[in-house]
Amino acid sequence: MTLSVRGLSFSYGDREILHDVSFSTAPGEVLGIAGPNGCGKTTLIKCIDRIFEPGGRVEFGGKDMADLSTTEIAQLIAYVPQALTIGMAMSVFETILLGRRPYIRWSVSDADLERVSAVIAELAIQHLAFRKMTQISGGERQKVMIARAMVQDPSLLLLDEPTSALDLRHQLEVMELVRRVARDKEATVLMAVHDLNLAGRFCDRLMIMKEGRIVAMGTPSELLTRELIRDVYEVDAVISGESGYLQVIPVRPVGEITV
Amino acid sequence: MKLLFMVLAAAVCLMIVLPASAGLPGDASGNDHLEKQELVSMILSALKDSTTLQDARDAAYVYSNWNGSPKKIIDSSGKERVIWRPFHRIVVMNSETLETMRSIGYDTSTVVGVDKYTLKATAFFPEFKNTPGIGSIWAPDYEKIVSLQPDAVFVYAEISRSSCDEIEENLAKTSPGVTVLRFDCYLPESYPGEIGILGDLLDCQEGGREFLEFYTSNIDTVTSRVAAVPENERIKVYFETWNDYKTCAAGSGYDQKIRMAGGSNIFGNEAGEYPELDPEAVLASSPEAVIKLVGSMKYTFGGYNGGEEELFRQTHDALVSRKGWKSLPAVRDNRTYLIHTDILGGPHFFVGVQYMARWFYPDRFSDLDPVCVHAEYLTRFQGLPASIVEDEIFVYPRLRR
Amino acid sequence: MDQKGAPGDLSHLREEYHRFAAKRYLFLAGCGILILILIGIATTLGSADLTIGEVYAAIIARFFPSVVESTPLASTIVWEYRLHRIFFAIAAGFGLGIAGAVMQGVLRNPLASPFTLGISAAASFGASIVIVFGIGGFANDIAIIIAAFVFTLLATFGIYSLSRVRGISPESMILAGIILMYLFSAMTSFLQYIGTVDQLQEVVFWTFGSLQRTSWGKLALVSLVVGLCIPFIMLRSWDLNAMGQGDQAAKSMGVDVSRTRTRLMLIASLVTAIIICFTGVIGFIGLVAPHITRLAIGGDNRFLLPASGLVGGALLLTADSLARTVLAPAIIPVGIMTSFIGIPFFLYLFLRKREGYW
Repeated sequence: MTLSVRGLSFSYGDREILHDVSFSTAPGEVLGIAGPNGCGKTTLIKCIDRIFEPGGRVEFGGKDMADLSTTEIAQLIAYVPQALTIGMAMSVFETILLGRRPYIRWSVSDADLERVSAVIAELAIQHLAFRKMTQISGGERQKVMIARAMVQDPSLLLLDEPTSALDLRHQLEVMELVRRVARDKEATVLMAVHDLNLAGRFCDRLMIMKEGRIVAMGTPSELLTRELIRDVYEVDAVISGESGYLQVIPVRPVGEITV
Repeated sequence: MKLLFMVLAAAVCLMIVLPASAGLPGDASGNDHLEKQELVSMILSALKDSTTLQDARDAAYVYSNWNGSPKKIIDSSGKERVIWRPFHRIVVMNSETLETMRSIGYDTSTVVGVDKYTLKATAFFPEFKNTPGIGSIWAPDYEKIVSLQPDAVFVYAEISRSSCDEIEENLAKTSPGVTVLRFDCYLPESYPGEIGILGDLLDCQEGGREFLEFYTSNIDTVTSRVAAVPENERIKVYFETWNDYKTCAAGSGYDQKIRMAGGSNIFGNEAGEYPELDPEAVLASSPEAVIKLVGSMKYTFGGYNGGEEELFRQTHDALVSRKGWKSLPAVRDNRTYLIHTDILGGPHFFVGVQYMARWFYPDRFSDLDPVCVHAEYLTRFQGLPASIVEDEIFVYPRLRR
Repeated sequence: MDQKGAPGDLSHLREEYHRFAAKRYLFLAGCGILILILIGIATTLGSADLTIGEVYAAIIARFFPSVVESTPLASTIVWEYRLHRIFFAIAAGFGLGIAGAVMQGVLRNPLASPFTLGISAAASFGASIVIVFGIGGFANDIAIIIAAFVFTLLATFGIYSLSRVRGISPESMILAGIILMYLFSAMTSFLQYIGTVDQLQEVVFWTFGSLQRTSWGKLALVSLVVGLCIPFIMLRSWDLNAMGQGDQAAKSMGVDVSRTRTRLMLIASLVTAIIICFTGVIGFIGLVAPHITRLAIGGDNRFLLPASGLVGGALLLTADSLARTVLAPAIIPVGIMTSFIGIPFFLYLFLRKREGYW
């Protein structure tokens, strides 16, 4: 299914956060959203999932999101927030099971349990399945959040900085997983990222935002250039391809520095 | 501004000093005794207008009535109080003392301030309807009290001791010339003594003696006959206050009065003054007589402030029709009574005690007529019409005479 | 990465979940049995000194008079004084326990309870108005009940209106609740100040909470209201679970957060109102029952809600039974007893090694 965003804008109070954002995605694509702090990546994601109500038009699979109920939206779109420390009294299994809420009336069916078990197996966290959320690490919690989103059987997966709390190994694992999900389920993945290197390595396309506007859109190799980095991040950087993957190495900030 | 300040300061000083200068009026030698010569000088000064007529009058009063010496009495707080001159303006903060003052024949026109509960009791204290109110012992209006410039302020001794202590302390600080006197005037153990002391204090010794005789004889009539009833034959009584299922225990005055009337308070040994009971305990205790107090909260009717007999009847019916009560001896034998707090809780509680004695031991007290006693108290000692006793309802069912 | 785990592993997980859930059902059943046992014991307690045999004879004789005999006294005491009080304790404790669990879930706050949100304070104020200004006479009792009920709902409406201004979030509701709590407490204190000494005492007694004045009629009313509200609450268990993950996460899982929050708060308040208008303020049940339950079976509201209710019922029945036996024949107000039970529990929580069970 295709996600189509046209003229999306959002203000918080009298502060305009997003201005006239328009883009569309292809099914099965991993689209990364990058940009400096405060550029609106997180807000954009929340607007697409209708956690906030934006101005403009968001269509998914041809349907206008504004016409759908919260449950219908939840069956199409899943959202993985940045790892938080609430909801800790539940076990891992129960937390993941929550993702089936759009499909559950009251009792848990075998189908629900199968789905949860399958996802737990995919993420290789069986050994954590019945531990309490307080008893696992931050990285493992992030995996649980992703698992919860996955059992929603979404066609669009929205991730808000999924690797921010993870160590090196978990970062790679999670990103591989995300790419696999996109491919195997033909789901679109929209991912707000901080780390340009991960973005460059795992995203099919990249969208660079600054101050609530899209400033560039294209493949990582097209976008990750010295000039763009300087324009958007105001940082002098070196682009290297030594490791076989695109790497952005920041050297120094551009312009005046106050020390 | 400075002038204004000085005037204000002077006024404040005058207010403090004015009520009563310590020391006998006219006691030029300061030996706390008024000699004839000092009195004569006082009178001459008054005639010459170099002292007030009031001061001279007071000096004459002290000389002739108090033998020239200040009056010293010990009030119910145990403290000695020294009175230098007769009272012209008094504030009485507890109605019980006010009632006793009437009983001993004191001229209550000196009362310049009363508490809010006295003001509310318009039927019993009609002459104080328009007297200024000074709040209550639990919420005293100090400004009002001081502005009335009283010679003396009367508060409780044992009851609400901390509130009364506070009033005494505050007055001592702000108005040292005001004498604070502490009397309870309704506790059976201290009341007889207080009658005598008040009589002495207010120069109503004759009236005090007369009332004390009336009081004592009415109490003794009951207690002496009751003493002949052996302990194990005493009537088992369940006493209920105006809060349903709240009884009175050993710490309370009501318990004392029940025993005075010869009753055995079933729950008298429980902790606290007014314990709340498990309803089934009452059922299981098989009381021979049940007495319920009315006159406050949900049962505010009857007594001097008036009320329909219908309300008494409804209360009584509700009481005896409580679940399972029809099997109680008290209900079977029609020994369930309502009594109003006006005749059981205050200085003329002996009326209530006599009613209870008649209810508990009708044979022994068939000649006792509490209605008559009540009427005599009102007419002889309170200056109220005897018709009140007929017109208003104090007990239910009313006594058949 | 290869897909780890053969199908065998998956059924292992499913089975473990079933065991997991079974434990919770067991806990619920256990609580139910505990309550039955407590009822059985409580019926025999009381200052009337009836033997166990007499008590049960009285119960059975009501249904099978030809089989067993009973004295009128025993029958009256058991049926007119004890049983409805016992059942009322369970119904009231159940309602308060569930209401507390709902409030804690909806506001994501372990300290939320009818007490902290000013709802009880409003009920006290309603009762105080009637006590101090007195309708007078026998209508007083009914007036107190109605006033307490009305003011409880007014407080809820107040919380809702105030939070609408700042958004229906847990923070705004809690703050609104605290504001109302102080407001109503102050007004109640003022009424106590202007009242007579007797009235002051009665207001204070009302706030202690008591099960003295229960009756079969009142029990029927409370059971009816609570019974009608329970299905409504239980059907929203999943929404509550989702809301526990945060408002935004819950929304992304399909929950209409502000509507659900509003409705659940209203229902919880209604349940609280119908109970405390008859009993006065009984504290701690709404706070402690959900915590105990959460410690035992975790935070899944499908089980937490009914279990909190059962634990609440057991707690209140125990407290009331103690309250009328410890100083028999005198009675301690049950609200004082629940405080005595609640405080050691919180001490325990405080001293316990915190592993962030919340």
